[in-house]
Amino acid sequence: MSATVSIGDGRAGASRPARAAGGRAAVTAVALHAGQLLVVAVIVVLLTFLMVRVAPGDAVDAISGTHGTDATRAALRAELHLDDSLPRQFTAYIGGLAQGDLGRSLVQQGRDVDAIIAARLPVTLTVIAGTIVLGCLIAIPLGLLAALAPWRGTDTGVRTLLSLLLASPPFFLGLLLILGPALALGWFPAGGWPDAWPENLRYMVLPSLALAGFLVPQVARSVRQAALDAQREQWYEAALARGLSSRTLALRHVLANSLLPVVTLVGLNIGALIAGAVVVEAVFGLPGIGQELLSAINQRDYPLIQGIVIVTALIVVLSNLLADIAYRIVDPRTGRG
Amino acid sequence: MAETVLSVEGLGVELAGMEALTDVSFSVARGECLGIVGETGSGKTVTCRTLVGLERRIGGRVVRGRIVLDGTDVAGFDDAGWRAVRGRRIALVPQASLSSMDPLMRVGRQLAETVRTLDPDADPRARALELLEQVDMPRPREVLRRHPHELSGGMRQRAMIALALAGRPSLLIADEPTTALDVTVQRRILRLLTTIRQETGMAVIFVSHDLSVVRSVSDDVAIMYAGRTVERGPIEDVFAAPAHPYTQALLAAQPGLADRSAPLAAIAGAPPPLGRRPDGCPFRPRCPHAIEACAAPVPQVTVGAEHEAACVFARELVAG
Amino acid sequence: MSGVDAFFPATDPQPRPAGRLDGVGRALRRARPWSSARTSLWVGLALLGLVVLASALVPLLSPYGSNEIVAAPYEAPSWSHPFGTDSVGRDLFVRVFVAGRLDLAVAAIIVVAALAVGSVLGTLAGGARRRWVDTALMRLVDAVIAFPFLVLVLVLVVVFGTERSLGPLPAGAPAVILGVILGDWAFYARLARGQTLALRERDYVVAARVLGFSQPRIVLRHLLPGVVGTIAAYAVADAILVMITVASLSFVGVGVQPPTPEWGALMYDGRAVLQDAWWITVIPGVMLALTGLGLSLVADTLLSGRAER
Repeated sequence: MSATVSIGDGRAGASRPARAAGGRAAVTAVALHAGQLLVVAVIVVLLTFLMVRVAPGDAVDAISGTHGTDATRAALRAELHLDDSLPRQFTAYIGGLAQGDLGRSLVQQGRDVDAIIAARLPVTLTVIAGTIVLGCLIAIPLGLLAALAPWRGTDTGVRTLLSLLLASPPFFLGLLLILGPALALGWFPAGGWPDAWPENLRYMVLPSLALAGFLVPQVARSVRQAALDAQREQWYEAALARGLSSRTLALRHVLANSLLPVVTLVGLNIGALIAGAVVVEAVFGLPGIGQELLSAINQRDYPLIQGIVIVTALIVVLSNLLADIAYRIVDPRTGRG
Repeated sequence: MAETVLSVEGLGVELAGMEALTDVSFSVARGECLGIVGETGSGKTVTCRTLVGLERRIGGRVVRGRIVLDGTDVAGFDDAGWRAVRGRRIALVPQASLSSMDPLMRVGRQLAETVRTLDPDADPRARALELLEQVDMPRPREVLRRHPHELSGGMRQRAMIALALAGRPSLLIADEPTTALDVTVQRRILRLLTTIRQETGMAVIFVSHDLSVVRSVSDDVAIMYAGRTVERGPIEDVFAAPAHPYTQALLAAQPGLADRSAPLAAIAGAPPPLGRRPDGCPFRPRCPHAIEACAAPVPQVTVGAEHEAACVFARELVAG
Repeated sequence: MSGVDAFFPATDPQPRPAGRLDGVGRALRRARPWSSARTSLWVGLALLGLVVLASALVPLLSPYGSNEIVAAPYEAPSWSHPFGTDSVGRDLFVRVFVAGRLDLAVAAIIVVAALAVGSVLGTLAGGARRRWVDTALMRLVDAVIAFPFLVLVLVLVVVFGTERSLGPLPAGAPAVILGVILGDWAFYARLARGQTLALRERDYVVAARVLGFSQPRIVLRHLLPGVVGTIAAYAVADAILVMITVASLSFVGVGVQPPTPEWGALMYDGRAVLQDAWWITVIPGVMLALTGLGLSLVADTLLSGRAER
């Protein structure tokens, strides 16, 4: 993937065109990745569509219950295109999707699904952003500490803590956080969402920490491993041999080298964070996309379920692409120029 | 004879409880170049690490001997003591490799950082450029802005030499500095090292497994085998009259050095692995001349001016 | 939680030596005595052993039934009820370990099934002669992995219906098992494909090809065993995330149905009275975390053992 560009020992002037070619190679690689992801996105939509169609029971029954008259039921069937063939339903859906139309909610007085999602998504994304920031602030020092502290007990202690965190479901951490910092100590509210800035910040902290319990072990482990690897590199030894102190090396070189994989790691975990947000929102009563999904599931609001699943999956696909691009920007070796 | 910069006397190093270096002795004088030659596993690299106080990183420990640098024994130095030595008095140029510099940092910044540490009074940017010019780097200004992977192998190795020169050391250790490079680049780097040595009066220890390369740059040579210096002396004397069977075998295995009509002789057997080295002369199991006396501790036999070998037959071998 | 990414590198992993299942015994023998790897393996096995034993033997340890009302509601932990009682006065000690049986069994079924399905499909993709088989399978895998894991599983479980029970599996459990397998196999498939690509250039596989063995035979007899051996170590780590997912499903009400005790469901029950009866929520959570810690200690040893060679 990475396009490495070299300047010959004596070949003056060879570098500029070579570097431009490296930049082109990077763009091509990103374009290829993007194309691949487009295919993935189409499959995602198809899978979601099929999943919702094979749901047992008639959606119309689920929605209208016993109250529906024959006329309203027929109207619903038409609304859902249930009388068309599956391929036809799918074409209609994907046609709407291309225009940003995700259909209408069956339950919430026919509101547009995209409007519902647009109203809820910011809350979830805020919590996830908070998780990434808080998580990195906790995980990076922890990982470095485990790798660089001269006492072996530190490493063992940190690693045990990380394993324990990874094994604790986010909703459990959330409940513990409510029990301690919120109820016993009163530092933060135990839940809710004022939907106003900057008050949101205070309400965001505990949910983000609960969700970070999932991100921190991964980032810290990766930082620890990368820091250990960096210390085994030839350049590390060469730098020691020319008199740089291990502290300088830790702060400048080891740190930078161990942060590199974090970019990719965070990008790859967006999906997991969205998934975790579903439960964390339930714990803290946040009006995010996860709560909306749960209530849509309870009410069998299939267009809304379908819309939420597709949008979250597309966010994951997009964040994978962004992580790829971000990595190319951060790592000089990937031939960005 | 110029003054001695470094003399290593009977150095022994243990690696994870096993003896990696048993008895290593050599010295190098100001402005001169000592070549250290040996096969893989002979202890060259352990020696290099020990000379910059980094043997602890691989689990090594100095158990015997002295490392006398400008009159002081540095073998027992602690980390702070070594930091005053590294880069400032002894510098190391490692094997040419893509990973010899931090891949994420521009060459200029790595140079400036080293200058700031070793030479705090200098203007880091100006001095960085000056160092690149000193190693004949093509287009030095541009190279300052490059990342290591954007340089060719030869240019990276020049940058490594520039980094080593930043603290104006009195001794430069080059550990297989040209092994991974192609032949023309190798020759240029060797010429550069000689030029710098002559300009600065710095002493150089040149470590290689390649006798002919060592011959082209060194004044003296030390031959290592299984953690010992088995022979040392002025390079032409050693080539003309090797006093150790191992040296003889090495020379015989060199194309174009020995009698051209003679077939190229490979040395039968392999060097003994760490922890399974025989008592007495370690070359004994592979030596055509071995006798019972070789199992006893081997004497250092002087066979000429500054020329000695660890072999009971040294005199006979020199006499031919 | 598609945190399986923590253990399943997104890119094809480095080629690893072909190996049969790398058992705990091998890992133990390889580890130096008293090395930290050995200690953490023992601690991990001890933790797991305790949870498994207590879950299996809970009828011997306690006289109460799991759905029997035996005391007043919300009794704090005491000698007669070590974990306290729940909102209707059932003994939590019994309920937690009866839940442990279900959680451990469900996780084991899921992991084994996902490992089997994923390995076979991934090996087929990597070993396929026709490029399109590989491309099609891997795009499907990419798409499955693109869904936020819990979101996908939630919908699948709802689609399968949480009312159904099957044999010894209580209502909700079959849907949970099926749903999680359908989400989880893709991670194994991706891993298995990477392993296969690394293995297929090895001498013995090349030799089999030269000997003219059929492609299915090469895939099944020569590639699959090596692939499964390597990813089995990852499966131990995956079990943690599977257990968390199963508990999360019950916690949001789309999992194993009451009154069957399940760790996530138990924690949900205690949620409203968190401040007054913390034990209802905290004890099942701690049990889940300890089981996860045990798995993680074992997995670390197995994985690092492989990496060292």
